[in-house]
Amino acid sequence: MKFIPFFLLFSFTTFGGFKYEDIEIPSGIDPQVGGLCTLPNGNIAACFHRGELMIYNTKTKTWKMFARGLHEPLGIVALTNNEFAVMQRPELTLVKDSNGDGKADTYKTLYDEFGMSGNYHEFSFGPVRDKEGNFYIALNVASGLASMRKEIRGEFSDVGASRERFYAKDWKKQKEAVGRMFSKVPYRGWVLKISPEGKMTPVSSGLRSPNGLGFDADGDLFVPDNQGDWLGTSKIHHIQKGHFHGHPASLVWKKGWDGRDPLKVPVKELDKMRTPASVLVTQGIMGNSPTQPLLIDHNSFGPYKGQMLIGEMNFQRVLRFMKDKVNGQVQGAVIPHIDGDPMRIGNNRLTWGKDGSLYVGRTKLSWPGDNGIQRVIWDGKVDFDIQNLKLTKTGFKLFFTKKVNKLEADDLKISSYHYLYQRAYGSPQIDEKEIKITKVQIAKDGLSIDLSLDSLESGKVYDFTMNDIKSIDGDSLKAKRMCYTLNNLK
Amino acid sequence: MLALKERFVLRTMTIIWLALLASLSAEEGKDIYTAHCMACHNLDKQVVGPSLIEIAHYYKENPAGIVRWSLNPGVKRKLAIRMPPMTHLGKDKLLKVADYILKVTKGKRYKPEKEPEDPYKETAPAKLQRMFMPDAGPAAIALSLNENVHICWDAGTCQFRYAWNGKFIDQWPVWRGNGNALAKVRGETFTKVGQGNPFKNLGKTKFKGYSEKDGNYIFSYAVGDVDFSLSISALSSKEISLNFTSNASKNLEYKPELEQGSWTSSKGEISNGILKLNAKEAQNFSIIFKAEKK
Repeated sequence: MKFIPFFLLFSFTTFGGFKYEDIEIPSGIDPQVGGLCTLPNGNIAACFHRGELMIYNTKTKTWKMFARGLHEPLGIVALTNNEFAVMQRPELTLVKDSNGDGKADTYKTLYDEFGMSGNYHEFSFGPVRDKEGNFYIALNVASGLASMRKEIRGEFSDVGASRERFYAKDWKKQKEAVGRMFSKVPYRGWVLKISPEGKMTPVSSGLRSPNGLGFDADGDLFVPDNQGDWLGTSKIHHIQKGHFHGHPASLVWKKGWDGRDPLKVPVKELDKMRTPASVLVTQGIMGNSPTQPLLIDHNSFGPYKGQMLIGEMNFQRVLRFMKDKVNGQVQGAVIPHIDGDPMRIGNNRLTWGKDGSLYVGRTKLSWPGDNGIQRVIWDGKVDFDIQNLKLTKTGFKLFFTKKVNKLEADDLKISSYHYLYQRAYGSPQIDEKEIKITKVQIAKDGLSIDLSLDSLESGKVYDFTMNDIKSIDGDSLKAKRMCYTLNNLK
Repeated sequence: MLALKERFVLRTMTIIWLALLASLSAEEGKDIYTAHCMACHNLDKQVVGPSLIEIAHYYKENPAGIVRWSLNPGVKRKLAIRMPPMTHLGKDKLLKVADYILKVTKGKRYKPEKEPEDPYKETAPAKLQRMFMPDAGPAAIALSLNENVHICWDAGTCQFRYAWNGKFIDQWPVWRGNGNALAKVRGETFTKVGQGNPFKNLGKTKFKGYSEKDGNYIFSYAVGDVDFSLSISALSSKEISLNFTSNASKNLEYKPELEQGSWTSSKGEISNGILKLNAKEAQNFSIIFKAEKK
């Protein structure tokens, strides 16, 4: 028998219903993870900050270099064991090993016809694939904290700030006209669909920092966005063709746009145009910077199949999204799913191992975050947890993973509030009020509770604090807070 | 008039009361700090933003100054990212955070940190690296032809931009942060062309990617309806060759916007800075760029 290094025997940490394993990254690699995916053979591919694409053999726990030299890759999907679609800053690329030596030799540009002003904030996210094999990508808007390069790629939009402003000596004085975030080259702030042949169709606009895309089991596409100008708090959007999601800079690239500077369109008009987010990720409560949504497509991570996980940059956390479809519109709730030590911050990319464990890749890119890859394995024991949350005509129905002991109105506090839609950065919580629970009814099987509330309003977050709810075995709830975004009443 | 003793007691009580208030405020401030600030700030280390000790160093006994900065942040150090304005927290909460910062740093001395060095500087760079390069479009590629000769290729305009002699590129300015910088050329540029594609009479450019074999790279692209393959090799320390093959079925004109160095062609005729190639020549030809003779 071979000698097994002592530290390997103890490389797992168990905590709060999960086992954690730190995946060792080869030395010499800057371990900020921009992309993470699972190959058909079960191995894991990771893209790193400085352009490496490496493959991790999950059996031997060793890494191999597949490709180098990529430009800030921020997303990857495996097409086969030898070919990947990688989203680089300038393009969507098919990276392939065509001679079977385990190393990429062909880098085919599938789509690069979006604009680049050279502004650092113009990150490119995705891809994810639909059932027909189309790719979806999302493009960040540029940041008004920096300007543009002299040479740009693609058409410059003359709507709003002129090009001269970007090269003016006193850049700070131009910022009011430019906006905090700008989209001066095509399709910044958009989700785009790319056919397998490389043909592009614009999908939806109004995004600010759409760091990660994910389809759920119903084929609904979700994209997070980050608190900032025009975003009172971070959120998760349901991406639908032709919709505008609220950040106005990208409107200049809308077909038939009337040529007005989006920054000068009245806020009320923009508000009417926009599709509100499916879920608000309440700032400082649920998260500050949500990342990639990932469908839970199996039962080896607890009884949550069909829901989605969402990474979070600023909290030691991965969130769970409980979708609720009301009047044909998606809304729902978020709840911390993996939370606190030894989870770390910077949880940027997620992929499932073949065994149902979760690989989490971290990054920071100078913002709050961390490095490396963590593998999270469910310990197989069902925790006492909120399994689901649905809106009813009179309140909410809470579904539990285990039988509830009893519930009195005081065991649970609910407040409601909303955020401002405004040009300024972020928003305080507005009109915060306590919601009275008028009736509590536990289902016969003990697995759900119907709550009637004294007030239900659309356009509000319902923030649940559940400190004193216990299971019949006396277990406390795993996550004691969740936030439901109510856009539509039943 | 209060007696001296009573005044002393009153003053002492006021001081105690105020200290208690500040302490309570700091307690609340801790919670707000944890939820909204801690991801970017650390007590004694610079993370994304400065350490609390550094903040307290600038704002000793001046919590209002911390509040003012948080509502309208600037940038104090080079390459730092600007904090988003914390207006959503409001002045009252920010003041509590400020009280907490000053409380938790009391008695701690600030020592400026050194500029960080690249922790991965020993890693040999990739031979081909896509990155933000100077004097090129944002979709640039740096390619090392050999130890001493390197070129910049622009995937946006599909063309060679410049070559230099010396070491490859300093990538740390780009990799150290979020990409708000350019790589540095570590040598002397000996030939250089402008932004326009030299075949631009043919129509729009379309980059198709590149392939690699035995460390040699071949770029593929189209200009109008003509497909090109291009490999680039170093002929000497200040001379490179662009080796083209194409599917041209018509005569081509090649007109580089030369800014530095000189150029010549293996085929066709050059007059007034324009190379004319017949269809057959255009299918396989080389352009040589080199340093100008002094």
